[in-house]
Amino acid sequence: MIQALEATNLGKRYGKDWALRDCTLKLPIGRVAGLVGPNGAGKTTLLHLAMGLLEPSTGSVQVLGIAPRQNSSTILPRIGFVAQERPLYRTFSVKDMLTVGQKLNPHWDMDLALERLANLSIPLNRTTGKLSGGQQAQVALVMALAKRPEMLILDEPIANLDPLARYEFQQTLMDAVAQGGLTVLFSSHLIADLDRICDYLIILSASRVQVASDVESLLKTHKRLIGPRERKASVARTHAILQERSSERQSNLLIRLNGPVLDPAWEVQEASLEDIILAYLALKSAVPFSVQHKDTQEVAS
Amino acid sequence: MDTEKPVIEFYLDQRSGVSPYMQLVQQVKHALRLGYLKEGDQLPTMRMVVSRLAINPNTVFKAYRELEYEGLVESRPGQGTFVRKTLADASLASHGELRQGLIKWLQEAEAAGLDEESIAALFVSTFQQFHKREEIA
Amino acid sequence: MIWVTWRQHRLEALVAGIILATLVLSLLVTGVDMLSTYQSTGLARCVTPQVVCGELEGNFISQFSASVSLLSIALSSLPLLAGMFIGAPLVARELEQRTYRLIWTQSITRVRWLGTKLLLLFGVSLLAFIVLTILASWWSGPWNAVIPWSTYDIRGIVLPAYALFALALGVVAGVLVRKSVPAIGITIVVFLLLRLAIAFLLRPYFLPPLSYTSSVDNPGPPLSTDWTIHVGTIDRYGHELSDSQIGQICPQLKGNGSASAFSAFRNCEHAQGFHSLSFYQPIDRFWLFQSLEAAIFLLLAIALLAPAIWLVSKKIT
Repeated sequence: MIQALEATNLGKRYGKDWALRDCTLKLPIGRVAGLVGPNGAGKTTLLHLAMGLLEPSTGSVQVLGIAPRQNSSTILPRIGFVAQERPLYRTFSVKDMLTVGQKLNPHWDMDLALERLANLSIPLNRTTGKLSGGQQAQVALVMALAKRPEMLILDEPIANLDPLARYEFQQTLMDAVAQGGLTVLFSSHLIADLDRICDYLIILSASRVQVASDVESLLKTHKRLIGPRERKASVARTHAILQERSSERQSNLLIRLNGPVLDPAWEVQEASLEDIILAYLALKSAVPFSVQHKDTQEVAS
Repeated sequence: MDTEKPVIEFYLDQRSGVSPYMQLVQQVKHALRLGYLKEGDQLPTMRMVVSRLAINPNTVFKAYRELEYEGLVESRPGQGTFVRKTLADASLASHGELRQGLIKWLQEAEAAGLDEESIAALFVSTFQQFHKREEIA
Repeated sequence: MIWVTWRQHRLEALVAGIILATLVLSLLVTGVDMLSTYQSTGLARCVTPQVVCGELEGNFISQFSASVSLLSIALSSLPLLAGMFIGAPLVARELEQRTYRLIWTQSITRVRWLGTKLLLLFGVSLLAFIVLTILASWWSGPWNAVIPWSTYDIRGIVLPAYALFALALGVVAGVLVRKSVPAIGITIVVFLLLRLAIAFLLRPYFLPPLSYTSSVDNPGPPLSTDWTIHVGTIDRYGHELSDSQIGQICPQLKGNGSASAFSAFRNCEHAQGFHSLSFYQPIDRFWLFQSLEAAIFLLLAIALLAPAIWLVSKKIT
């Protein structure tokens, strides 16, 4: 089955330093996937590899079943991309930017672009350098959408935006998704909005993939346990403990389930997506066991 | 986009810890229980909810599907999602009177010097005790 | 992509247009002036060396040397300007402003992107320089009848070749250092070094210079239409002498510039059997030299562009 994104042992090295390493993951078509991780975790590297802006040092990456670096002319018309800091030609007017898109993309939808910009009240004759950050982000997004892509790749699209601009950006994005046929992969270090926006989650940290999973199954398989501290060892035997906060007697554990919690001494609570993400991001060592493979199987079936 | 005012306006509470999907389900049920939503009412279209809330369309889809499973709404292809069954029963008629009683009680509580938090705490603990007693009985 | 290139470079095009118009106008005005002087003074009719012609030539040169050197400097600096302001920022600006992430992720391959830009910018620049060089050739016509090699750098076919080389150099520098300002710096340094090295070290020896040994009684070439590369004095055994050596042997001129001292000095030289030895390139080699030099710069331009295209398409990110 063709995946929106499939990476196999993908790695990128600059000299001795690995920007991304042993990255193996699958993103099914039709998902809205969030790519989270601390700064320098390799998010931009992964997205640039997917866009063919970078050449892998090891392994391979395929987007919509196509290796982007070798087949840029086939794959580029099918992916919309908004790079970090949302680069635009600052001396160009908004209209000029749209003409750039029109001249360089075979499926360009000028009506769609004009309608969206009109809805957002962005003046067409203003130079992009004079737009607000939020408006620049919207112009960049509209340019990516007017390509009529099958997939959208966004690198930190809402970073440095005020809350309202962030919300409006997400509105435009979700509205485009609602029209169907679009896979989205976006990186973000803001995790607060993720449970509203994405249904798939990829966590990169320490240049490796920690999680690549459907959000629903992530929530099902991660719970918070509250109970007597002396019984912690029995939990650790079956389940993976991601996070632990203990007082003298009581333990508060965030675990990844590996079967039901049988001991009635433990109170089982739902864990929020934010809690789960934070727990993974805080992990210093390797993940207790891999989260990604099983979940992608579940989702694919 | 729809110009008509929707019968229900969803909102999301980011800090509630409840998943967005569950919040949508609960808000529809709440409106059904209080009689704000009646049989035959059309729920806002997915597109409308998505662009109002900047929410993943799959979440709205999942919430509507859940409501459909529970038999509360039905989706008519090409038309939209409609309320099939209301959760408000005969007791709805007595809501007004009960509300009056509650307001009166709240005024008394305020007069007795309780602040908002104390009132809420008093209500919740009494409510829980009351239910526990019922369970035992 | 043609539109995009135009939109991105229209400011440069405007500035280049203004410079071009100013130059064309100056060339026309001084050209007409020079031509009419050349014809009205009778210099045009001087085919054989006559005394009167020598005087006419001297007057003509002193009348127009200022404007000729000024316009020559202007014309020969244009290739470098093109390299600095069109070539160097071409890729570097996209890299430093990160807009390459925007433009290289539209539905166009990098090779086509760069290819179109290079073709258009190089094509238009080439056209402009061809116009300039044709005009400059006409303009310098009267001057060339007197001292033709002095305008070698600004007419004929070398000027467009310099321009293409400077552009290619700018592009490569931009690709390598990824920042406009350092790329401009590198373009200036490398262009001047190469251009001057070829003009002063290589060009005089494209072909072995002709030599002529003359004595006081027997003057001969080089003529003013030849390019004199070196003139020295040799003794009767054919060894070249330095000025101080000559001064030791024939000290008549020391501290005394009178006509009698000069003729005494000449007599001494004659008695010693001194001769003057000249090395020069004759005028009939002019176009051969132009072709050789243009070919060198064109080959250099191609040698620079090929790796630039390869770097952009495969390596740069």
